[in-house]
Amino acid sequence: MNITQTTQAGTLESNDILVTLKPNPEGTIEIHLQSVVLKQFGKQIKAIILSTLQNHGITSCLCECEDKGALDHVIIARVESAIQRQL
Amino acid sequence: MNRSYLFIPASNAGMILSSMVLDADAIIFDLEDGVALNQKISARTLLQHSLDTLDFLDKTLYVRINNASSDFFLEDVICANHPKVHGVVLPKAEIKSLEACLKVLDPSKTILCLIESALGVIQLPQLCQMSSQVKGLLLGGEDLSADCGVERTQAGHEIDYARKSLVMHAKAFKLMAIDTPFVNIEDHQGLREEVKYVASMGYDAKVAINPRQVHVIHEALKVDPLKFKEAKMIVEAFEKHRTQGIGVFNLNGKMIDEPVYLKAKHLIEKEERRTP
Repeated sequence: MNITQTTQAGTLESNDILVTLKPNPEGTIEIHLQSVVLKQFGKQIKAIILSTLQNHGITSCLCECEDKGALDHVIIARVESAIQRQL
Repeated sequence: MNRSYLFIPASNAGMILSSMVLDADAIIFDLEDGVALNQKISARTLLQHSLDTLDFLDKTLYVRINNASSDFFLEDVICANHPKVHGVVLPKAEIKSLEACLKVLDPSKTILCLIESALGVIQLPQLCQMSSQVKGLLLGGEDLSADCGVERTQAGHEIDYARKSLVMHAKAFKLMAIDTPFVNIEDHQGLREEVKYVASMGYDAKVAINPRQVHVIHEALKVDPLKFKEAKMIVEAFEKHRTQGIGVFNLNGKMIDEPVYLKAKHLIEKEERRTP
């Protein structure tokens, strides 16, 4: 499944993450992450985002995320909501 | 017995996370009025994942679902059927909405009927008897006054009939009576006075809309230690007299009989159940 429109979920409040999904003309999944804990958990957060996208059959998108210290389940929930808003 | 029910908007990840360490006896995750229309589904998704992941320790968890006539109702109830959830708060509780809820809610879950419409007040006798899943009545003063087209005041005369009717029905059918939120968050003295007032009518608990209200509610619901001590003395003396075949006696100049004994016993039981 390709992302065909821009959708967003989440907030910029503490313990949350703002996820924006956009179409990617390259046809791949590209994740851009800004996080208050980028150095400590950047790889892990990206891995969660990627696996959530893949679990929902996403093969192409530009995923921009601003993380404010969200736990794993919040990241998953926000990515899922952004995907759901594509439908 | 829960003394406080704290509303937490299910759209707020941080508040859901912190709810597990707050002092409230029960948490109501709100999918209804506390969540903007365009965030409803996203809030439910967040709540589902939070319930799956977080340990809410000994908190009693409720979900305020959306109205039975809304598009969100069915999925909200399915979310509330989660094993960690104790039950639902049913908004605009009326016969029709309660029937709809009972059709889809897991039979192990309890229902707190949120009485916030004139019809809901009038239908209290039926609502109390429709299902053993109904365990409590919760007054929604804001929506009720809106439904009646009157201004909501701190004195609360506009919800006086509903408030008294609700507690009387709760007592008659052995349900929890939970009072409406106190919306002036900074006014702790006003909250304290209102809690004491409704407790004197028989209300068991109050809804909090801010964590800072919880402590005030708990303090205001505490029984006066002198009254508690006196109740213990009455119970002890009555049970002693009863073994001697005496049903009425004088204790420190006060006549003690069965109703006085039962009232004292009830006060002790209530206080002991309230003490965490």
